[in-house]
Amino acid sequence: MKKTKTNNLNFIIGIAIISFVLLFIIVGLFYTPYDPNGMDVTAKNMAPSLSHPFGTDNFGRDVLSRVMEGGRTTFFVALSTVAIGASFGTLLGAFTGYYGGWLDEILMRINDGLASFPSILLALIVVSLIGPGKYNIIVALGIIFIPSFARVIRSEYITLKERDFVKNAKLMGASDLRIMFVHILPNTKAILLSTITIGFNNAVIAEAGMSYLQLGVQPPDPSLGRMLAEAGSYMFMSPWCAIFPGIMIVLTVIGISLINER
Amino acid sequence: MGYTLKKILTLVITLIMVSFFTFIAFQVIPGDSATTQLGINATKENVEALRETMNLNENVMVRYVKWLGNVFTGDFGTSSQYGVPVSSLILERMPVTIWLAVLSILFIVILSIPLGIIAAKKEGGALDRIISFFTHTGMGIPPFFLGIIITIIFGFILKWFTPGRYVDPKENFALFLGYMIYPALANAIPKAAMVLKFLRSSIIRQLQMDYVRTARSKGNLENAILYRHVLKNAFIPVLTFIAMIIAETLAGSIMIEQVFSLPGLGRLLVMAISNRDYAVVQIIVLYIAAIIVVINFIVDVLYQWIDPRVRVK
Amino acid sequence: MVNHPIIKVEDVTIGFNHKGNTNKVVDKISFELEEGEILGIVGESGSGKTMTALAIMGLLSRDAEVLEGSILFDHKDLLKLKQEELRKINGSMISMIFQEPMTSLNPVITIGHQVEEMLLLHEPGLHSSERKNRILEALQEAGLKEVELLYHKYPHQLSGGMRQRVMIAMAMICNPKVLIADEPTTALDVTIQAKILKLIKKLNKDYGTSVILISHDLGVIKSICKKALVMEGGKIVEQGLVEDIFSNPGKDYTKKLLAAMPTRDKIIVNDEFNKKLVIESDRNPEIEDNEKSEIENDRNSKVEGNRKSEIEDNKKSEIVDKKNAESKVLQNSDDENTILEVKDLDVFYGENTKKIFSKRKLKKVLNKVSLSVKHGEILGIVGESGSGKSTLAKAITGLVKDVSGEIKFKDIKPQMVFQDPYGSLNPAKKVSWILEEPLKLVGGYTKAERKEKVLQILKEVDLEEKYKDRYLSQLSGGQRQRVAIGTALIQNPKFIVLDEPVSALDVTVQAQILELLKKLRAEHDLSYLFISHDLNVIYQMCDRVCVMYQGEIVETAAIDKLFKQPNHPYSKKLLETIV
Repeated sequence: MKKTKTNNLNFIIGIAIISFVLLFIIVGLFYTPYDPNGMDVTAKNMAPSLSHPFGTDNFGRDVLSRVMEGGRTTFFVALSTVAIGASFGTLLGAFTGYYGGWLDEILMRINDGLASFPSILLALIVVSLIGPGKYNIIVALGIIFIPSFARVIRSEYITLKERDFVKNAKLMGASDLRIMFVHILPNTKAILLSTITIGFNNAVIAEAGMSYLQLGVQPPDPSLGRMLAEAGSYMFMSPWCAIFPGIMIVLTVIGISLINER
Repeated sequence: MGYTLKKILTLVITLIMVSFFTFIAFQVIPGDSATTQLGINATKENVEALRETMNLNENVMVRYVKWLGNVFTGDFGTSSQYGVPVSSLILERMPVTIWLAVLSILFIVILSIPLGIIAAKKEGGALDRIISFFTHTGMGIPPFFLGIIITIIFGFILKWFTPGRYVDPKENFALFLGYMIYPALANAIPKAAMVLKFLRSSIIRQLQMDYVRTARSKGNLENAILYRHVLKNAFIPVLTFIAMIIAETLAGSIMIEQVFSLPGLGRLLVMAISNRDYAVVQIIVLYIAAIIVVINFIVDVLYQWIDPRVRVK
Repeated sequence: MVNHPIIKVEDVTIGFNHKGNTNKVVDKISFELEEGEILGIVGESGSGKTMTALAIMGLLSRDAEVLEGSILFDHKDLLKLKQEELRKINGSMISMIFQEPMTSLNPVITIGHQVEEMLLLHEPGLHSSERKNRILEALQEAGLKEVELLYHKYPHQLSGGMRQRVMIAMAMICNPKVLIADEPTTALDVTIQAKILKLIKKLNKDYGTSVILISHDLGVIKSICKKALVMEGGKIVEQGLVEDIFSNPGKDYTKKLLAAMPTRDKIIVNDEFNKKLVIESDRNPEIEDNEKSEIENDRNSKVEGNRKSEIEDNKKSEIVDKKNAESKVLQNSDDENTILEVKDLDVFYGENTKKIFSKRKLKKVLNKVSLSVKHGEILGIVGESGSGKSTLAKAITGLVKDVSGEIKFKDIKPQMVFQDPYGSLNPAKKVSWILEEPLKLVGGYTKAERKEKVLQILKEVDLEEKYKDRYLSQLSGGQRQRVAIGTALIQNPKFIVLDEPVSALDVTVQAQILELLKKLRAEHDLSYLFISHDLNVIYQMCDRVCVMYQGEIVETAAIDKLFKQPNHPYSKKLLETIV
């Protein structure tokens, strides 16, 4: 990829944004200004102020504390999802791409079919079968992400296995497993990393979407998407309840895509 | 001609597969729908009687064929949640979703294609950077959050429309369209940004090809090179991308309908999932899936029309 | 005829702008192109020859810029002209053909329309039927046949040679004063190369078009140019008559280029027989284009034939399997002196049908190939691309499985060095890892022993120790090929298969690698199977040669004998292509 000045600038901005978001989440691990689920009837729907920088919601819960906690949940779900998708997808893609054959054909046909369906639709189908919930959503999204990783890794393997260095390794007597994971896999690093970052972004949006539809993370746990859903009915009275968690999502997604673009 | 025929065959096979998977997913995996429908307190006899009427005791393949036959004749079963035929529910909700999708796609095309061409033409220039900034932001905003922002800005602050006051198209079509503009924009902007970015980079990639240099060496005007030589090549990859975008637009409307309280298929689907109303869920899923499959088929056929390299093979 | 310059390049300097620094790629060059002449520009990649051509056309990419100088055409400075004026000259007065015929035409526009565009741009008054006639004429003139059909075809339906002819037709249709040909034959097979050069020469003669011919290949330059420039590092190091440059090179660089390219002249000093040949090839290549029984066409029909002889799977694969069992690689060949013995080798390629249920079709790509390599010998395999020489290498090393026939080795299986050092080594690993891997796979070495062996091998292939910690992307092509040779050598082989080991390299680097191979053969008592499309390289390296054509060995002979008295008609044809 061509590295230009703008791309470097994009990268720096991306890193800055993600550091900012991570700061919130990491601090939130040890300290939140209020109990994220603690209600306070005396402080309902308060606009942002010094004591509540992001305001409070209709139960009087502190939005800043909930954003910190919710961001953590969202990141946790997204990372777990990507971990499931990337590890199974890489294995599947490596084997199917390297060996080919009829199993590969069938799996890839299914994969192609699945790829043309939006992930949110597939997630809805899986959730309608296994029910909503934080861990269910991880399983649902994780399964749905496997094909996209398998697809990318498989096509990398298909081109790489024809390269002369693989033939060379075969001539030297390297075993198939060694060729697959010692010789070929390191060559997929760049594309794998980029797929992981894109996957992470998709996972953040998918989690937020599912929770927004009340099918993801369940109350009282906050997640960024869930907070948006809860803010829906009070949008006129306290728009800050929707704006701050929404901005967190947007910053995460933009930051990561800027980093990825380099 | 062999190509189109092959594609039609693939289309039919895919549709059968999709229907089969849907059937398995919603008729077999969830378990005994007779028990689900009657609740845990039902007597054994009642359950058995219902099983008999629902044909649950038969072989899976036989059930599938019967189910498929029902779907073809428009008999989608009864909604457990509303107690009315699913077909009437669907027919009632469909126009809203279709209008939302059509308007969204219209906005996507209007926004992305001209801006993508301009950005590619002025690559690296000020205009390109401004467009690129909006592209990045646009892609980063999930459509439902964009919907919330649009509601706050245009609904509460500017008061251009009243959030939540949806007008039925049969009552007043102009007011209906006036309301639909906002959800359609919320749905379209992130996807328009994606198409724009994809188109821009596709054009830029094509501009670096050898044949462009040949075209220049012939003494062509820059604009002629762009419109005569480059665009057709650049649209080839965009075309497949657009199929995906249309699918995403359909899925996006599930969210958007929620944000703007539109009585469309998406809301019906979400409600049905929450209430485990499988009769409704399976038909909507089947319906959306079928549309996606058909769109992919159309794109495949268009592909051979635009790319001679596919046509000849 | 009064010769006066039609293009005059004066003190032109071209630079790349990179973060405020300018990187000069062409440095103060001056030359003249006279009316009706063919001027050659020769140099290695990066010498600035293409940049010079692009500057004349005003086609430099955005980040490159002409910093000073002038390019006069018809008393006008092309560099000072406005875009619109330049556009009128481009195509109609000066036109260009490029190196890559595969990508230089627009893939989604028909051939006819692409050629027509020239006329629409520069002769807008023409009636459409007149235009069509002109196009068909131009295509015919460029040696293309069935032009009516061709008119409606797309570029991907044409062979490389045909596409280059289309490019030439397009460039010539407005009767330009100057034609710039940038490596017009580099991407083509040798036999087609010669035809394209002939065509350029003919057009030059018939229409008096001046030609600038750019090439890295001195042979190409010599075959049709009268005058030439030699460029190195952005400067013209030598210019003059081609004969003078060849017989009496003034500059070290030119000598190096010449030395790196063993031409037939050097081969045949003081040889009566060859004098005759030289005279023959010096004879003006009058266009015998009538006897256009092009190898291209030839091959097409042959391919068709092959397709017909496609053997339906079941039956065949049975046979293959049976034979496979028979043809077990026998070690310890009978003859003490024979390192490799191949008898009646047939090789099949399974076509990837991409369908689950269709049976695999096998296509025969090598037919009854027999050869043997004696101890200490270098056996050459020469042929054009598609002749099956690489397939032969893969079959011998065991990379292709669908074979029948006998392959016997005296010792262990051979090692192999591949054509493209960019592809044959793992780009994700460091040099030391790459060299150690074969030792790890064999086993039985401690870590320290492996490290020591790596250092020893680096020395053998003339690489400094510091390179062991580098990635391949930090090495030049020649250095990479040294590493590739090292990986073969570290396994203590007796016999190495070299598949086009130098064809991806610049000529001067080629010579170094060939020297290295010779040195290693002497030091380690190696035998080589040396595959190349380049007769010059073959001549320099080999003791005996097999000529391959369409999957068969058509002639095997000692090197001198082949060059002096080629037997098979194809060998003769092949030899005609070198200078």
